[in-house]
Amino acid sequence: MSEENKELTADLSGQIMTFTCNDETYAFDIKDITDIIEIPEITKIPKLPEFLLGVINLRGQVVPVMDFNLRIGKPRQEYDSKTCIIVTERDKANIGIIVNRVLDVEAITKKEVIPYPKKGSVIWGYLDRGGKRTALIDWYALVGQEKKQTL
Amino acid sequence: MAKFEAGMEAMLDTFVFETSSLLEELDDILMRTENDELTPDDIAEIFRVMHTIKGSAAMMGLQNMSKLAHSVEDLFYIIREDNSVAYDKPAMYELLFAASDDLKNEIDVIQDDSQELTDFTELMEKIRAFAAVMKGEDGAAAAGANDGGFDLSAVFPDDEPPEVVTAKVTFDAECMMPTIRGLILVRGLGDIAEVCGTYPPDLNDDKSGDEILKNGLFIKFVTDDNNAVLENLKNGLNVVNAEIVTKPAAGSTGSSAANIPEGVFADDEPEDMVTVKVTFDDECMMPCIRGMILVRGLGDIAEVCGTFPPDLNDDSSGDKILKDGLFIKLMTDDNDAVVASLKQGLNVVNAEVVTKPDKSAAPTPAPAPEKPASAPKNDAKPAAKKPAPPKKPSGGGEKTSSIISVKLEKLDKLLDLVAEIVITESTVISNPDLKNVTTNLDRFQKSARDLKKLTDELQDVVMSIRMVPVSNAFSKMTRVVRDMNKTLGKGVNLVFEGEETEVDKSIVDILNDPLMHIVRNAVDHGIEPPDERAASGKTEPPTVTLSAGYDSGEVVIACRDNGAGMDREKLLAKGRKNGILTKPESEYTDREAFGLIMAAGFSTNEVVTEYSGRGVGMDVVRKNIESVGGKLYVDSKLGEGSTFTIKIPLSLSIIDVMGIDVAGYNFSVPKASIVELFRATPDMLMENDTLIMRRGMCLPIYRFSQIFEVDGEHKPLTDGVILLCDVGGKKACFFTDRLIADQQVVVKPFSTLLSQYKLKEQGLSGCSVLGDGSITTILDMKEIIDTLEEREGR
Repeated sequence: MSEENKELTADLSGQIMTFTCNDETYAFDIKDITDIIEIPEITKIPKLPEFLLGVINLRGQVVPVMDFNLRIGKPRQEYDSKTCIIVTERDKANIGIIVNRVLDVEAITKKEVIPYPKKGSVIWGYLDRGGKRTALIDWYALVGQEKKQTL
Repeated sequence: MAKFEAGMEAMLDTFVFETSSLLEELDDILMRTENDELTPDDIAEIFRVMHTIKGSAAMMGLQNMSKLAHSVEDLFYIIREDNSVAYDKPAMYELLFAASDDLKNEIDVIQDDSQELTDFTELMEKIRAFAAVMKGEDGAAAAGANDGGFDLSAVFPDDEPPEVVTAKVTFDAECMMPTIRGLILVRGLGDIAEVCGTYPPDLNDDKSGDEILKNGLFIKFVTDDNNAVLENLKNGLNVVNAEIVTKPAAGSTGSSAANIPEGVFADDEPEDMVTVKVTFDDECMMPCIRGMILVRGLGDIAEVCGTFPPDLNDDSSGDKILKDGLFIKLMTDDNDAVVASLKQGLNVVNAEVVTKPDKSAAPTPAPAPEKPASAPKNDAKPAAKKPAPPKKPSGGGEKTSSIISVKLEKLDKLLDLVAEIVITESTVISNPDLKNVTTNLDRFQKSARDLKKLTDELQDVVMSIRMVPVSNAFSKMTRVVRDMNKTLGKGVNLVFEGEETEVDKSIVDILNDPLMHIVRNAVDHGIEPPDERAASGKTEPPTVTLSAGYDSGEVVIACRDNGAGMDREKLLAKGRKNGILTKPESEYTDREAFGLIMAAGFSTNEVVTEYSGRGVGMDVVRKNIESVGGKLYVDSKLGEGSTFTIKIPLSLSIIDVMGIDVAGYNFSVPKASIVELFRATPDMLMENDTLIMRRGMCLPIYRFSQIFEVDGEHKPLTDGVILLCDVGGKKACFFTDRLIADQQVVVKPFSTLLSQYKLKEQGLSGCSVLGDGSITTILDMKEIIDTLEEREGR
């Protein structure tokens, strides 16, 4: 296991929130999540990468919003009634992430995590439960890198 | 290593703030009086400042600062007591400025964990020597009297009559048989003085010889003419020095428990009460306050019932504590813990439990005149209270201060809140839901107007709280110029204009560094040396003028000198040499040429001096000013002088903007950069719609949609609104589809997650939540115009 993965594993809170995009299952650590909201009006801001749609007004706070599918280089999916924004926060920085559907909250143990071998990806590990795979998202990689990452 | 007394960290902020303002006060007085008369009021004020610093530094446990302040205080004590005393004023001011600077530096040092406290011994010695000279003594002798750890108290018996004078005779180290020398000296005094004794007492004892060599010989005598005696003694063989010494003010520490003053133990003391004696070292400043801190520190492990001396707020208790030690009466379960805790206190030499002396062994004749320390309630009080501020010298009437100091962050928070209130108010008052209400809204409208009035007033008041006059920043320059005059000998006058102009506190803070650089440059490079000045026939005194004022929403600060001015050709030549010219020399305007001195790696002064000329001055200054949205201009006339002008926006987080719609994007343009709005007619447009003629000017025209690369229908320029913008003299026209609103917004910087996309550099300065909950993006027209010019220039 790489150093980075060790750090991320050590950081796990024990619960993850799973969601789907393009029929794949992903998960955020639950402690990064502050809100799950419907999609409000999004104010566009020029000169941003395509996956950053703009900003929203979340109770007086201006929060940037990204489309998860576009972020990981998948095609855009139509927004429907199940589509929602997961608002995440780390280091006092908020960002909303549009996902197709929020699934569930699951318990996770550090031992279960299968490290992801490639570097520079937004995925840092996998969870495999009887063939049902969930990709664990590295928040910093997701928001910090300028270029889109393809899986 | 902890720099100050444990438990005092919380006081650090207050200490730093108070001491800094006191030192600034001191500088003010010094600057004002340096070339003027030092009035008794000023002397008393300096004395008070130093006394306060001494006290609070001692309280913080900062011995070095406390002692330095103490030495200055002593100096002014002499002047205060005897106004006619003669002294070398310039030399004294050098010392005072040095002390003030050292104290200021030390304030930075104590806040920086990586730096050790400074040792001020050298400066203190200088000040002491100076004070000694004032007292009419020989400086070296005075310093000598303080040296060594020799206990003078042994020399002075308690029952010595006051008329007995003690002279200290120092022999050189080579002196053989100092006892004999001493005897001869004593005999030689026979005619002019009556010798009562010597110390060491027995000059026939050979052992006394070593003692004399080490500590000197003390001769006690009664005489009419001290000086004659001293002369006589000084003429003796092997005698290095002879001087009158006086009994030390405070006797030295009695070290044993047997030495307990009366009144410590009361007769009716409960049996489980323990008395602890704490001994401080002689160097301890403000023993009362040390005592209070100790008592307070015991809170957890013991119940303190009282102390002796009983009143720690009384300055006279200090001497008693130094002499007899401090007695703390307490009840505790763990004597050892108490003693251990006391021993860790600063300056504490020893702490021990003492017991009541047996009455028969040491009979207490009568109750002590002072109230004994057994009234626990009264005595415990001062310990619980905050240490009282050091007393002001008498004469200055007590005034209740009508000024409080508030942390800037609290004001920032308040300003943010008020800004939010203003926005929320407009959300409520112009709520779309109200439009559907059919009933009469007259009363609502009236209340709404009242509310608006109040919030407007609130906003003004909060803004004004943060306003301070620029004189705060200016007056610091007086000091800079004074110091430079000393070293450079240019005799430059510093003149202020409009120093009462008020600007936001944050601006004054930003201004300090750039002003310092600019003023230094003006004095060092701008003003010519006196001979050069005389040669060029200039008669007016060399002057640097600092002026301040407002100009259309900006604060304008200018520094003007009547010196040599700058030579355009020289600047260009230097620029060529350093390879920083970006276009042919002939194309440089005067302003651009002078602007070269603000380019990185440019310094015209051949010689690097203490003050300037390292080539990293002006470009840093310019960057600092620009980083807060300000601008720096240079104007100069050869032979007449130069002017540096700083323009900084009045720092207001609420700004007036014009909302515009660009292909579905909601942007806001600050009104400060808009000159006018108009519709274009076909005849105004020139050169394939890239230029526009307006008000006799031919200006470039741009589409916002192109600048930000957003899609949208390509409307003809005559179909929308044109904004004529002017930022710092640069004008350009911009086309937008339509105007949305004229509004006030609170600028919020972009989230850190967005700033990685260099939005600021592309002219987007932040965003703001509008009254209806929608979000608008604020444009930075300066950045946009600069970027456009740069793009087209290449």
